Amino acid sequence: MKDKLFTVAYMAAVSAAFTLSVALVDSATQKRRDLNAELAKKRVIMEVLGVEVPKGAKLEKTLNIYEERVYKTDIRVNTGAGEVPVLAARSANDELMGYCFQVAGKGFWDMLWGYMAVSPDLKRIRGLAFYEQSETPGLGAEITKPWFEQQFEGKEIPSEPGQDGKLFRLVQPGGQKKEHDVDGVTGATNTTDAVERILNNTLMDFMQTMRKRNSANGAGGE
Amino acid sequence: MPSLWKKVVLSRSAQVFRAGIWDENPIFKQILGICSTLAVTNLLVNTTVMCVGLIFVVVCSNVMVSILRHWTPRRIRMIVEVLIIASFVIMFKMAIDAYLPDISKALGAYVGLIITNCIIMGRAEGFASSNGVWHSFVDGVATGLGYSFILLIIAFFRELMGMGTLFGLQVMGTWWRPWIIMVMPPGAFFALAMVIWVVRRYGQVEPEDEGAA
Repeated sequence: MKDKLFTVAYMAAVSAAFTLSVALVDSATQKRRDLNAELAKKRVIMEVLGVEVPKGAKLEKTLNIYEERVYKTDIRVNTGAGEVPVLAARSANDELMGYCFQVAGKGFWDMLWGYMAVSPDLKRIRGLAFYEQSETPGLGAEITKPWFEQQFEGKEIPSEPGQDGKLFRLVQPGGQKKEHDVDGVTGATNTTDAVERILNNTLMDFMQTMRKRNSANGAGGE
Repeated sequence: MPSLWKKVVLSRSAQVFRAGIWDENPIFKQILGICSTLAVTNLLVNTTVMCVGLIFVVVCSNVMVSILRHWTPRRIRMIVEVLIIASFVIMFKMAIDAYLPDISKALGAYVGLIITNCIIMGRAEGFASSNGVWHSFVDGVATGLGYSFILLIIAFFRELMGMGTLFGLQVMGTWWRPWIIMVMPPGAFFALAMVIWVVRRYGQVEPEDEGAA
């Protein structure tokens, strides 16, 4: 009996001690981890919108530039993770640089989170970048590499989806590419398919919202 | 001097160290921890952080298990070991999330999976639970290094052949056509098998007893 009591008490004590130390490390790093996450997101937003951040800019400076140039619009778009506001950026001389919205959805291992930006005239993609993903390093995770993301910079957005209902297709690299085709990642078919689905869905929703909005404005007598 | 050197080399600590690095190397001798060996060796940067994490966890858990060894009731010792290991892994994960966010992102789930790495549990159960704190510490360092140097060798060849880069820097000329298979899971098996073959053939590891598992 005494043995059993000791065993239970011992386990409770050891658990308490280790839980406490984990909690301490957690609270010690919490602030920094939150800041990192926020910064990573804001960096991506500015990157896709084309807001320039000097190389090696300190954390605070980066956040300041963000505050100055990026703002929330009252437009909302449906992403794979619910409805979110569309962001926009202004240039140094107060011109609209583009719209930016979150893209999200299930990847091969876990959720993919990123931002896509569209030019002010809604004719071209300005940029695309993922800020959170758990795809296989060296394979699916290639979607965060410049070679993949840069393909979207300045890409024309077709006014109507193709016969398969898609605005863009991600295809095998090296193959014959048609208009609106983009290279996928070799060896990561599942990730490639997921990215194709996520981008098409969100972009189509955004374009529709904007079209409706513009025609409403037009009817208002501009 | 020579007698002091002899004393050092023949000491229990040195033997424990040699065992971890070579004679009982977790990868090519015990074939443990293969899951992470296969998973994180396609890029050197990721491998390095993974190795640092494993060394940290195996050293801390060995020391902790050894400290508690006289009090831990036998029938719950494995639960206690898992608790200790899991705590250190979570702490390491939080630390790299805070200070190396990019690499933490690249490693994804694998850092958390250190918890299930059989090397760590094996050392806690097989060594630290019946040895003193100092020797457990040495054993942790040696086992961690023994794991790390093999992983780095594998990652070196996989990244070089599969991507033409080392630590993300382009080293192969444009003439090099990357062997995509090397950074994919099958490449890990080829690379691991080659390393085990070369080390066992030329590394003067004494042959195992016939019939040993």
